Amino acid sequence: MNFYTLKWGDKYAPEYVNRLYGGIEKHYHKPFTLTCYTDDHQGIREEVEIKDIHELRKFDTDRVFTYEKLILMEKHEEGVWLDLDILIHDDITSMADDFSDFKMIWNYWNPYWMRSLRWYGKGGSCHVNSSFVKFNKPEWLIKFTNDNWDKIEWTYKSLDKYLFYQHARNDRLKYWEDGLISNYNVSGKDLPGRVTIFNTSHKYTNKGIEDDLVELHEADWRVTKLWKSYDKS
Amino acid sequence: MINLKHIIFNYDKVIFLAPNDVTEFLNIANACEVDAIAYDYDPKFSKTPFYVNKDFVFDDVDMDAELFVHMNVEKTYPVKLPRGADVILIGDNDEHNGDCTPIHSCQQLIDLYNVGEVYDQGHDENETHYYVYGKIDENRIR
Repeated sequence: MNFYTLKWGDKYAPEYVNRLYGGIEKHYHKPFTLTCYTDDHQGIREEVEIKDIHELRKFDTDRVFTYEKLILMEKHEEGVWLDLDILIHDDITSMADDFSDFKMIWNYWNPYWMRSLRWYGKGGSCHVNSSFVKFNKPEWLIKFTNDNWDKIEWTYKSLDKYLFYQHARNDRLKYWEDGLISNYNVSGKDLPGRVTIFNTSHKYTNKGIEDDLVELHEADWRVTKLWKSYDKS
Repeated sequence: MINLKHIIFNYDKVIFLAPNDVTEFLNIANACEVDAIAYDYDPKFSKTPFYVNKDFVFDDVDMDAELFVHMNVEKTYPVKLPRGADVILIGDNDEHNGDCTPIHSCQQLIDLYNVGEVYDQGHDENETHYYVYGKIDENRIR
């Protein structure tokens, strides 16, 4: 299986890439590759294939945060895209080998009515997350995106909002089963499931979010100890 | 601000775009034989009479009306409305999460939607909410 991740700017250090590789190595039990699309390959371990992130920026925009993930699917038929700020802590082989054309995270940890439906008409809701996505030739999604790019770019600040309002709304998406993915900033250090996300980006792209959100490197010492154990030995 | 109720009764077919809750307008208008519907994708309107639970920007919808009343312009991409149709455009500059088109003036509304003839325009006391009532330019370029 081919895994993909993105790293640009200085928000996340190269250790995030290196330990992501280590997490896959430990919990995906088949041959794999990890490709990192980045603007700076310094410090990234040599097992990781490096590509220029500009290869994914065909629309030349600073809107639609992480739209680059969509372009990945034009360049690669099948794979798993992973955010850097996730911690893999149990077997992901069956998830990565899933046959769905597009499977992403449904935020089971948030009450749908209170956190999403209540604000739906305001355009401020989002109940999906693209930190761990399996894709396998989702031609419908690539076509819809290209056909509607002007509207998408104008309307949405993030990829997740686009996917939620246009594709979740029309029941086009599949989601990981409840219990496989957890959110550290909701569930804490117990790390339920197989993968834990930290999900902090919405705090920076939306007004009025007061939540005290923790990044992976700021997590409880037991969590960071596990994360650091994925360093190259 | 503009008195929608008075204006609506001058038309036979009216479409509200992204209006949130206008059930009172819709009920009164249809009771008086004005064919009035609303396009709003919020699921809370999925079973509300006279609502079509669709996104008029991205979904395939019928855009045939004499008057379009587009409330919450700040939340939507500026679609091309039919040439020659009358429009009421209402938007604000509150910049809430989910607002992609903050509206700072009547002229901005006119330019965004290619309004040719303007019948009326104005704003509230605080100059946060703006409206334009007019006709989509028959000879617009885009």
